[in-house]
Amino acid sequence: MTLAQALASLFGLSANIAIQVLACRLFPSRGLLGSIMLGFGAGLVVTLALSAPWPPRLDAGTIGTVLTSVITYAALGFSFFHVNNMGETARRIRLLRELVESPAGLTEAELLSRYGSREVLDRRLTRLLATRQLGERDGRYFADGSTVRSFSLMIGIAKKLVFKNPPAPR
Amino acid sequence: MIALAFGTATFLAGLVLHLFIWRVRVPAGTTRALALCLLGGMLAFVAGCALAGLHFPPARALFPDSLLQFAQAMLLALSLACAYYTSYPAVEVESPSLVIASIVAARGERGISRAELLEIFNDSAVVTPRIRDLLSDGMAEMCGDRLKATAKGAALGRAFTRWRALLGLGIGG
Repeated sequence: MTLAQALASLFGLSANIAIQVLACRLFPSRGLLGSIMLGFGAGLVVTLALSAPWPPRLDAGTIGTVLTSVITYAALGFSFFHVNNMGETARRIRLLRELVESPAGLTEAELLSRYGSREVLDRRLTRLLATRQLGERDGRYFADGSTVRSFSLMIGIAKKLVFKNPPAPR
Repeated sequence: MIALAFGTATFLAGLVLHLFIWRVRVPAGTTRALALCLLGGMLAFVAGCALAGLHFPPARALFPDSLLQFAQAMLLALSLACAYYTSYPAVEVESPSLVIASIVAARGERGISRAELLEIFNDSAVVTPRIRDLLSDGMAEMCGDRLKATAKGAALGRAFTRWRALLGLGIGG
């Protein structure tokens, strides 16, 4: 194994980040998710190219090395996706950013006036409508897609695995 | 395949420690506690394997046999831990999007209006608990009646501000 093969996933992640930034700036109409997918694909190509030996050969060692690199890259890419998602949707990150912009501090009322439940709700309704998880008719919202419900089910299962007594909704 | 197996086993050791502790009692300040559990469990596993290899040489066949292979295994373990760590908030805290979708789905053909949703999604339900989380995680502190970001919180906030600016995106939430 060479150093490049051992660290192929890190090079892949670097390519992922670079391509995502370029895609987000050059093709803003594709949105954040589009740039994330493009970056992930580019990083995967780099990971595969660096983890495979040259000249190519197929043996147990090669398969193990490539598989390990790809799984490592997938985990790194998944983490990077979450970081992007946090920047886009996380309430705590938004609250922190509001506090950073106010070095003198904010009272709770002032903080809530800058970022409160109305904005939390409106941003999410916009996203859910754009991804067709919800539909709107005559000013009322209806469930349309099933992706969100599937995620809800997966998270429910994860809660039962992690917590002895799943915590009350926070 | 040794790197794959060893790296995965290392991560699982950290995960098992985390699940064990969480099932006994969920610690306060879960962000820091989770990182310590994962890293501590992984470190203990690697140290245990090193000791096993010293005292029981046939066991060395199960471990990486070169520094590069060990590095690849550790990179895998840390990456899996990172993936779990960044996913954990979704398990701990209700996602407003999922809650909204569940509420709307439960209304069926009646649907629900924005005004009705706002009655459920008020500040006390969706924002105030996150302010409490920032305080308990040491990201923010009270100075009299004012909230301020701590050095740690400010560093995290600025990092995201710069990242979003690099992407050419506006403020999130």
